[in-house]
Amino acid sequence: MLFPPDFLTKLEYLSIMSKRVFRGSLLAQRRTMQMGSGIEFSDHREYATGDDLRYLDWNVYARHGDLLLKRFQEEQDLHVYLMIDCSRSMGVGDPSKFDLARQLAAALAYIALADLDRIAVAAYANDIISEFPVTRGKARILTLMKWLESLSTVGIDTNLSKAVQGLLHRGTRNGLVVVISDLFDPYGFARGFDQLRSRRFEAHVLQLHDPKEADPQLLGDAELEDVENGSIRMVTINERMLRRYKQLFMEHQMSVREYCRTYGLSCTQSPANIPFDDLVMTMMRSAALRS
Amino acid sequence: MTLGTPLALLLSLIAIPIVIFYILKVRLRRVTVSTNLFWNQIFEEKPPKSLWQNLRYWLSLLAQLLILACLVLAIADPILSWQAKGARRIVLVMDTSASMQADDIDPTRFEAAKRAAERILDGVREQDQVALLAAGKSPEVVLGMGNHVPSLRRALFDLKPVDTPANLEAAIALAKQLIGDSPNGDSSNRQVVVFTDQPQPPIQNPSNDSQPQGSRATATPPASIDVRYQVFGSNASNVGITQFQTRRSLVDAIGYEILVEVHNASDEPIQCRLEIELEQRPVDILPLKLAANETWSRVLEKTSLEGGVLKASLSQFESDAGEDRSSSNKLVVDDVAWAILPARVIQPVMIVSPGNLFLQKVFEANPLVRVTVAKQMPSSWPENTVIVLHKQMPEPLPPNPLFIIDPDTSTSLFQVDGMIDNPLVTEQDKESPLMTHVRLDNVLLPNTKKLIFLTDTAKSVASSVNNEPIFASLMHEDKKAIVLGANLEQSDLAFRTVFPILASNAIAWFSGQSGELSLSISGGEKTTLGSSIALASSSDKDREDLWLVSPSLQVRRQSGRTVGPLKETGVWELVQWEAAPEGESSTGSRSSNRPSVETLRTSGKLLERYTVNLESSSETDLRSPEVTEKASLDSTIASWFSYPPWYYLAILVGLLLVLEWGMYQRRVLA
Repeated sequence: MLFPPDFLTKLEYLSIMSKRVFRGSLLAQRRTMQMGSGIEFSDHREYATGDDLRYLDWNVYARHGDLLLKRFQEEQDLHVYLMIDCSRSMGVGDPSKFDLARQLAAALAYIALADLDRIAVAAYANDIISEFPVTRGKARILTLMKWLESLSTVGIDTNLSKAVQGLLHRGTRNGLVVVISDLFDPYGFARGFDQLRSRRFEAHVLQLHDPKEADPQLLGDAELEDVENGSIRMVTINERMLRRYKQLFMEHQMSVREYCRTYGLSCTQSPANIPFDDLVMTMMRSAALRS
Repeated sequence: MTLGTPLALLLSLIAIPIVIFYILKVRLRRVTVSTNLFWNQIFEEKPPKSLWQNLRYWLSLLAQLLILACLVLAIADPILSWQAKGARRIVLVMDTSASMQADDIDPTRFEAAKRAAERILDGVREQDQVALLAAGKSPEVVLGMGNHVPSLRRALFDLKPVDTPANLEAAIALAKQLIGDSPNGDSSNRQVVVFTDQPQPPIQNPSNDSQPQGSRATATPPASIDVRYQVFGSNASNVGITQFQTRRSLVDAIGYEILVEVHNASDEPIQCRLEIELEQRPVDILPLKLAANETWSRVLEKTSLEGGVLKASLSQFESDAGEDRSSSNKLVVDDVAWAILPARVIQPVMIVSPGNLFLQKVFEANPLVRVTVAKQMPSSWPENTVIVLHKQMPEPLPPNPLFIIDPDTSTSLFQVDGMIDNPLVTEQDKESPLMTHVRLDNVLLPNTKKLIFLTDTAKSVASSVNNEPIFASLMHEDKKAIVLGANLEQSDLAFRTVFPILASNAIAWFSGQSGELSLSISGGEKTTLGSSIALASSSDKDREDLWLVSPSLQVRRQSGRTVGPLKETGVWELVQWEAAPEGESSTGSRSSNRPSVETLRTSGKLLERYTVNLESSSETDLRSPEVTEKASLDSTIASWFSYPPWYYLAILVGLLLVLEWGMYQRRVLA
């Protein structure tokens, strides 16, 4: 069962724990840099024709005769976008990476909703396959969970870049993007994150892998079938090749970490056989340390 | 080429599943992976496959099929035609004599010989026939002709040297008879291989070979059989007791004599100590200085009333300079010898006579006799006392051992029927212990009573010309009795030594003493049960209560009158022991119940003891001639070309397995 009966209890616990960890500085309480109709004064600017006269600073005009318009900092809800990789490679493992990814998505969404943020979830493979529109309020969590349960692994070859493009083309507001994926992307995972950064999205990488992917127990003759694109590779695997595979896998994981460290992205890498709540707690602790 | 088990070829059908499985294996197992990104990268890094890499799958299949073919062929047991013609008949003669226990060769000569024999067994082929003989005092077929090598190995493993001399000639003759005639007339494949430490005897004409005892007379030794010797030994020095006997003195009733002979079988002088004990009490200690090859012999005179087991042992071997030479004594079994000294028993004797001082003095002169004299018939008769009745006879006769001399009246045992007309002893039982050292044929015996015995147990020991008994032994109420009809006063008996000797023999006979001499026998010889046991046994063959305890405390049943052959030096004990009646009723197989030594010693009755010594100068002398030319056993011992074909096929299978394993490693693990 993807969401067991005590799942919501755990989400509530995580929500409380997140408030304690971030001490009230999380998500919705962060001020946006957008000026607007807030109540907190920010600065002045020159009056231009057509400006609302209600915001003209008459006191300044009376003293100095300058027409200055008062600007206020607008308080806006943070938008949290969760991108779940639902390519076929996520279905590998027991428990599968996809199950853990959906549980994580539900947990993060609940924490955000509980903090009065808006969330949106997109399932992607070679493109955005399905999406949960922007919503707010804890009450929406059940709908979200149903939607998550309805997801399945599909697609041919993961393409994060294309999925990000699809997200951006929807006129999405800036916000936090959490990408939950194994990042086995034949087109390269970096392009997608580059696009998010260029659009001033704050990205968070949550990379999952199956323990057997890190340490495969394969020896001898075999046909290796790529679960995503169905390509078959007839190989005879020996110890030397196995060592080389492990080395390449480690290099891939390291390249993800290196990318995130270079561009200040938060990154969490984890095997898929640990409970989702432990992983969320780990994420929160590491985020708290960074802040 | 013929096949021992052609049906085994059906096993070649296993090739079908091997090929099928191989084809299935070529259709590789499919493994689903998350991504081929890394694997593609690995194989893009790899150089293109070489010809070897492309071929190794097929080479592997070929190796597997070859392994199967070799296995099937090995199980089918092929016999090549030249091998079938070359079937050999080999008899291994193992010298089990005492000298093979010498440790001048590590670990012993016998163990080295066994190892050499095992090498021959390694080379035994399917069609060969091999027998195993033990050459002890008399040859013994340990395992007859056969080709079951495990049985031969087991028999060889169980074979142990014994404390006897060897009779190699008889063993070789028996071996030749075992080999018999070759079916194909080829004599080159018939071999007798002798493993010994004795020098190789000169080649004799096979037709003059001595026939072993018990061999069938119809078996004629083949004319040409290859006899090969493998000699195990070195020029080892040894000192041993080659003779050790004791006997009671003829002149001293409590004295005894010890004959001991020690041989120095070395090329150097040696000093040692000879210790003699009687029942673990020291009797004598003699320091010996033996020249090279000297045989020292001595008769020692000692006294003892009790008797028992005499033990002689050699120790403290030193050179003339006082250096320890224990290493020069390579054989232990001849360092100790045993002998039995018969015990002397004081025998109470009551003489009932109207008065004859000669008779009284004859018995009093015997130190083993305690004499009481009565002129009148006593009112009661003492127990365990020999009653000597002279002239006057009581009625009834006392229930004691009786020595009746010159009876005046008839008794229940005999009737006095006047005098013998011509009382010259013309016939006497020389085998009777009563007549030991006694000759009556030239003794005048006037007025000798003519006796007519009324009992069937009477046995004439000495009789007149008319076959009238003058001296007889008989049984009286389960007691021994002897009757002498001669008149002591008027005969020459009083002037001769014959009567004291006869009286002494009678006392020994009454007391059950086996005599003055209990010979030690040499290893491997047989002896017979004592006469007292034979008398007590109505049917020797049916006796099941006699048990023989060896010096190494092994118990075996003694059946029949012949004891042995006794192949172990030391003191053997003959014990009478009967199983409990309940065991007899419950199982009905009393003969299978072998008592323990403790049981025999606690509840059994010791009847006799036999001492066995090596007593063989040839065995004591361990010096073997230098082996100038190594015996040519190359065709007999195991070699690379003497094994059956299946052996080589098995080796080939092993090599192919290694090859296949290597290819597997190259494929999978390299």
